[in-house]
Amino acid sequence: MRKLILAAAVIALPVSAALADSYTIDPEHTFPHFAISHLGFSTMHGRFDKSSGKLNIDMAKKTASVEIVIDATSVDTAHVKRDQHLKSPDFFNAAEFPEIKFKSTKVTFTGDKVTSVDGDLTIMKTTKPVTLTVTSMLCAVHAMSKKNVCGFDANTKIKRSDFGVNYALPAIGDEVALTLEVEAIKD
Amino acid sequence: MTNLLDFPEIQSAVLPFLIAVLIGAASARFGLAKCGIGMIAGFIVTVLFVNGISLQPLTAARKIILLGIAAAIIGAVADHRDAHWPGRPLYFAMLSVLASAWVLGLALSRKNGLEMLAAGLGIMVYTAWITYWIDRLHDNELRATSITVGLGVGTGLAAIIGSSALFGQLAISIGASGGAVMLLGLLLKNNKPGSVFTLPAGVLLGIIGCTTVAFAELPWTVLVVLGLIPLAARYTPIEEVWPRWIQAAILTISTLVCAGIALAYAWYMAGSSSYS
Repeated sequence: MRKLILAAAVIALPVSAALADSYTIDPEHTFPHFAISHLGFSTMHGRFDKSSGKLNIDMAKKTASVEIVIDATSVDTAHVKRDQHLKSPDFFNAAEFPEIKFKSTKVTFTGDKVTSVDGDLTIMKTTKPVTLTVTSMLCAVHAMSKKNVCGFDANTKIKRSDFGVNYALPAIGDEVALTLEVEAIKD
Repeated sequence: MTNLLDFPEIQSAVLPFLIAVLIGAASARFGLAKCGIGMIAGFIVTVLFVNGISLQPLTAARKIILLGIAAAIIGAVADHRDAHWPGRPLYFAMLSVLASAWVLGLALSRKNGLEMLAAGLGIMVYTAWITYWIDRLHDNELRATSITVGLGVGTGLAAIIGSSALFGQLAISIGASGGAVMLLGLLLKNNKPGSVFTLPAGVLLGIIGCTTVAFAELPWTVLVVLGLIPLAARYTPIEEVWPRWIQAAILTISTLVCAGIALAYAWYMAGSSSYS
């Protein structure tokens, strides 16, 4: 009898996992943004133009996971020379560390909505835990493409010095505001 | 009030120069090391400002910092043992090639066959060339130190044009500290900078130049022009009978003119406006 229960459980596990909907990040609608103090004069905004990743969500069980890989070489502040500087070893060091990663460890639901995502952020191969606050989220059929799409906006704040990005501290701010706008298409 | 220490020119020129003079003079006075040790002392001051004491993650820039310190230790030991064996510049050049492989190996491994070969060969030749010449001229402190002044300023400003202020500040710091060691050479009698100066100066300036090409936006052809600086220091005609400060001035101008040509070329290649 025990063996029967065990076998049933083993069979049920992948079926249960399969119930979670799998989505692939839509790079055309997924942009990580950042904002940082520029010498105290103003707040400079920038974004990464290329990212990829996966989103798994099971609305019935209220479980989810997300993994986003950001191409550090795609940093874009609408200024070519500044972008080159940001890609250089002074900041993102993109030639040595071309990827920035976020991988969730815990997704918190409030009702039917995701309200926060705990995860590990890796910049220059240094990994630190961060918590994203999800400010909006929608999973629905896209009105134009008729595909199932899940999207969310999230934000957090990090200290770049925690990741070894120390150049020009404290003149250029240590605190960096991160905002993620993410859309993913159901597989 | 704006903190003076936040200014890059204070961090990478004024302070390293002053510290190099103080440490170099004190070391020579008390027989602790040759006055050239001032160069690495000045360099470390700039490192503390631009990088802090953190070595994690171990980036190329931090490997360079470690290598500079290690090279100074090896150089100090060589000075202590009065090691002037034949062919020493070649051995130092080979050491610098190994060091460059440690710093740039990862970047090279991401390139494909022919590109990797060409880049690897270029890095080896440039680093070895710079290290060889600075040590080759160790007996003539004015010529050796004038290389570091010209190459430090040239590499540093070229790195800034090539979008890396970090490497720029590190290289300029070596130029400023090299100038301090030159000054000590003028002020102190019979005081050679020693291997504690020539080895780290060569390794650092050689690798910083290559790293700026690999990780920032400096065209490799700029290194070809910068590579002429040791030749300018070696072959600029000066007479021993001239006052030493005139010899130092002529050699420095000579290497700085070379650096200026490299910078004009780098600026032309960057083809863009300033940015801060």
